[in-house]
Amino acid sequence: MAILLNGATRAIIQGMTGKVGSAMAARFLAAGQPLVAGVTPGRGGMTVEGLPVFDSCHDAVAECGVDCSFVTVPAPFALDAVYEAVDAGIKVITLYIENVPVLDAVRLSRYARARGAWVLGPNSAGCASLGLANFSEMDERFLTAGRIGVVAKSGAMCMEAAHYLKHAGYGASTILSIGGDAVLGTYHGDALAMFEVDPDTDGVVMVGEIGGRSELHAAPVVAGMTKPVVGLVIGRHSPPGRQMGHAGAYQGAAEENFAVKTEALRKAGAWIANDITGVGEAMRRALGNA
Amino acid sequence: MALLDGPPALRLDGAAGLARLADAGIPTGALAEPERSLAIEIAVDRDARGHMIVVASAGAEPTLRLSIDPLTGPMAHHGRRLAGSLGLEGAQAKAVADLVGRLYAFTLAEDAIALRVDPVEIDRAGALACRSAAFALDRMAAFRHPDWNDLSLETPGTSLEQQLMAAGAVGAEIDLDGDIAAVVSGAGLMMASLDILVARGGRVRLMVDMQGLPLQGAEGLAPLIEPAAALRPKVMFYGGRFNAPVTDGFARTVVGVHRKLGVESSVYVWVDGNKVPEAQTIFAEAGFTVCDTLEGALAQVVAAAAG
Repeated sequence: MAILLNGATRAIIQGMTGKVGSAMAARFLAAGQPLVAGVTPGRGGMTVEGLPVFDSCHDAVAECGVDCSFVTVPAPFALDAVYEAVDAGIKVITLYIENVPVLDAVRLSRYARARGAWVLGPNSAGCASLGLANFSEMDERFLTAGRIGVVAKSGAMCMEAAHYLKHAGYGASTILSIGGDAVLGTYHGDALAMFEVDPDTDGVVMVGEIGGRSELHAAPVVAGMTKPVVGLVIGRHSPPGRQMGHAGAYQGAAEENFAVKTEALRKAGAWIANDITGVGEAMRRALGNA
Repeated sequence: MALLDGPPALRLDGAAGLARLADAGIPTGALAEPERSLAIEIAVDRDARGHMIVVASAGAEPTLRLSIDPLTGPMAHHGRRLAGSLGLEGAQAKAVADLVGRLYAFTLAEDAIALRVDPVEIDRAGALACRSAAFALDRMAAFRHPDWNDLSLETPGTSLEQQLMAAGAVGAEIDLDGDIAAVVSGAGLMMASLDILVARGGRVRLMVDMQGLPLQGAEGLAPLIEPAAALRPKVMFYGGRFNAPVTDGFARTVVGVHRKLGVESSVYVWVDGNKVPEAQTIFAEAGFTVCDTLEGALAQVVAAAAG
């Protein structure tokens, strides 16, 4: 079953006639993913990689029964694209693009949550439920399906966590990149709550980073979980006030740092990994003691 | 009252900040007989997906912090609570509530991540004047503010970090006495690699996240590789797991830049993903040390820097 994406997922790409959108369409189709259409306003009737392009999400949902969108439109159009997807009834929306204005991220994330939709991102690498549906930049050839959930802001950390899990003998159920921007549609705690009730997930690796309070808000969720959680916060040695790649990766208030977040997760019962290369072994210990 | 200390952003303050407020019709200047001085901050509350409004008497601790839902904006009751927390009543309370609403509208119109007016003078009759204003503008919203080009905005970062930003990458200078420079694919790998390097005793001069530039070929990559390599640190590290088939092109660009600049640093490389054997061959033929694992590569980098 996994979370967010499953064997029944049917997806569109918003902005599929663009450079990024068409490239991702080719990649998803080559990997056999259930991509069924694209949406670009004013381009209805076109085809990309043999798939129909619709003028609106409403048309795509009506014609193709879509429930997931991978958004590749330019950042200035992200707000409208997400509003449209939500209004059309799409429940899982990955904002793959970066440089979305903070105010737009505030608005679109609140709008989606108020209507029961999940937005991953902005600046999300996407979501992969291995063997079921993968709408992410993560190449499934380098991943192994299994029963451990992974949630990280960073796509790179998703891949590395999955790699070191595989090294320790574990595969992943769903791998979820929630995005690296300051304001996100989905936070760590949201993902943990979904993994907790997923019958195909036995444990979760959660990679956090400096900046924001997503990890602090996740701590009470960890404390209430029956499944083991391996926690890691990266950015321990990042200079305060400096942006570290992600728009959201800067230490603002004092409690947004490595030490406070790590301690909060530890106190909540998470198994703390020393660094990303240690998450697989930490999960082995966690499952052995779970 | 330190919300403005957080996000790296375009900053505007001093007379220019105050003038921006005045242009928006918000009262500035000085009052003939001020009775009190206040401070007001409005900033994006990233975790609540909204805004936070904070008020205080000037120079004092906040009297109230309110989270505002972006779907409603500040309501009349918010204004009453904020003014009440400051002990204001009557015309003064109404004036402060009105000012908060106008400042909130200003932050939205200006795409300000954070705004601070401090002090704000208020007289007995409720007349207000903002004496000083500072705000941080969201540079990702620059596309809808062409007038920002006319402002004297302070861009964050060192000159090297700004150079890397102009190339489309993100750089962070860590320790000016460091002897390691690392160029990696992905913000997470940037932070995770720095953590491992420092934990092993390394002194890191520069960390760079290439963002999506490997997808743009040599034309996109070279402008970011060149300033990093030009530092000529004792040891350089290049690393990444490439989902797209661009690893060989990445290798050719890195090697080409090093040859062009005559860089004599020891270079360690870890790459995984697509087109890895081709890339490893290019790196090895250039005399770079090709490592099989991330942890192995970072251990060798620290050892080489110490040796």
